[in-house]
Amino acid sequence: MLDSLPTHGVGGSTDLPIPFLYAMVGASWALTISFAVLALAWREPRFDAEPEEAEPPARRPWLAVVGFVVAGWFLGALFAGRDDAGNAGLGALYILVWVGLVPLALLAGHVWRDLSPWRTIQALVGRVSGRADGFVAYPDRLGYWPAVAGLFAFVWLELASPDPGSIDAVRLWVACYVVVTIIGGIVFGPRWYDRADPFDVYSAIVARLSPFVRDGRWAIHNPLRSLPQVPIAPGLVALLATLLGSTAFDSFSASSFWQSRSVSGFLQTLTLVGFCVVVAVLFQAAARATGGVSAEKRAELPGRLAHSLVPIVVGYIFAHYLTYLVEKGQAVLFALADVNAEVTFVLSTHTSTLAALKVSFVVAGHVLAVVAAHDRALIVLPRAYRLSGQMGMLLLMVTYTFTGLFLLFSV
Amino acid sequence: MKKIAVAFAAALVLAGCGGSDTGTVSSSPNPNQSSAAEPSEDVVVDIAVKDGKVTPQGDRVEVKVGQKITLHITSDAHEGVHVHSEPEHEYEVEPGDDVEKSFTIDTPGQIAVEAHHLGVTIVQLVVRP
Repeated sequence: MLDSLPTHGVGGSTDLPIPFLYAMVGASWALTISFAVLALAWREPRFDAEPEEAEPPARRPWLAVVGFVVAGWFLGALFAGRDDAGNAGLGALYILVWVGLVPLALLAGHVWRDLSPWRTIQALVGRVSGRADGFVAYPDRLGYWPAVAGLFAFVWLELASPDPGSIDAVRLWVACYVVVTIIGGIVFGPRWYDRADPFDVYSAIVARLSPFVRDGRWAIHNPLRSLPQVPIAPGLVALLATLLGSTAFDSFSASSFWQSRSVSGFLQTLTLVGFCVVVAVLFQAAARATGGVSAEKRAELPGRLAHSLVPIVVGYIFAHYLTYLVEKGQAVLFALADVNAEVTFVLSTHTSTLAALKVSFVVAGHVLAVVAAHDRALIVLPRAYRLSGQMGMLLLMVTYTFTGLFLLFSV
Repeated sequence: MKKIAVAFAAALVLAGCGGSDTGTVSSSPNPNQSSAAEPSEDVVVDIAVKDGKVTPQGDRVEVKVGQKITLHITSDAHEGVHVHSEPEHEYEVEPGDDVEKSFTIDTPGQIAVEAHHLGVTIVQLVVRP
């Protein structure tokens, strides 16, 4: 079932390219709505007047227990299971943890915080040692950079390492992750998980887009109101660029253009870095492209606009990985539970509906992003530059979305 | 704005459903495919492993669901040809081999056929309904 993973990430079949017409319809909607927002939308900020986020509620113990059991199950499968690429723990990491994290955060908010066994271990050690907040204050200037490093290490393992299906490599990666995450938590306290644990940070950021949960409690709300609360810290743009760039690289590396060349591991890695860097540099440039602000204020703009990138990331990741999660996810669950069941190909067999869903995710993400960026621009840009100062970001978002649709259509 | 987005998504999904219905009724001819007229005709992919290289590499091959696909493999080396469908197919070839292996694929999608010792994608089967 999962006997072997090919060189470009999670194994097995991939989606058909979306039809050209769908890509065109999606692209024209994205373009039209973008300029409609710029030209016709509100002139006073609407979503940013929210009160500051309250202290998050305490972690729910029953979820901590669930998190412990699930993590134990996955780790047990990974380390005690078969010594080849058919190991169910591999699929659990690549599909259930990595891809499943996104819909989980959208539906249930940042429930990862409650589930995380590493937070539980830290809390227990903290209680015993009397150092609940760790031994050293987490240096603020580090920001999200440790999480960026962790995320990059993960996407490198999945997309650019010599053999992503190598059980030894995955075991080594997970072992390093677990050790670093536990020690970091004990030393720096819970702040470590808010800034440095790649999965925890990823979940926390996606959770701001959840319409169902805010501040850790069920509450139906407009996600455009919770999205601006993404905490700004150094490395935020790099974090989102790593997610978007690596997903685009995954599409690109499956293209005939790339597959027809025998690319060395080093060049593979360099190209992956290149994708992430291009996404980040373009965003930095577009966010700063306005008149009428001091150099100091200009340097703050990318961070203050970074939250608007989240819907584009989530929309594209959904479009790219939905089939993996729904169909390969079944295979992984069957392998984990050691049952012999048939996978139901609910999406693959409905090719047109799948293509329509993928385009819809990308366009919906784009629209949310444009609206979020517009609203924030009204706050951060001086009055005289409110329209012209948004142009760069708008064009960049259109570029991201067109590129995403192009990759979905051509690969 | 939200209403527009919702209406758009709904329209696309509806269009998608309609598309897949008509798609099954009339099999649209595909210019890229030599045997488009009759889905029951076989597709033969010639694969040559020679001097540490495999041809083709990274090509796209259009096939239909249920169509018989034959890999015609000649090799001057030990090589493992893997078809990443579900279930998987795995063919070991030895130096001097000239073999034909056939299978069908029942689910639409793209299936990589890889040479595992060389670590390259030979062809990507584009399986359409």
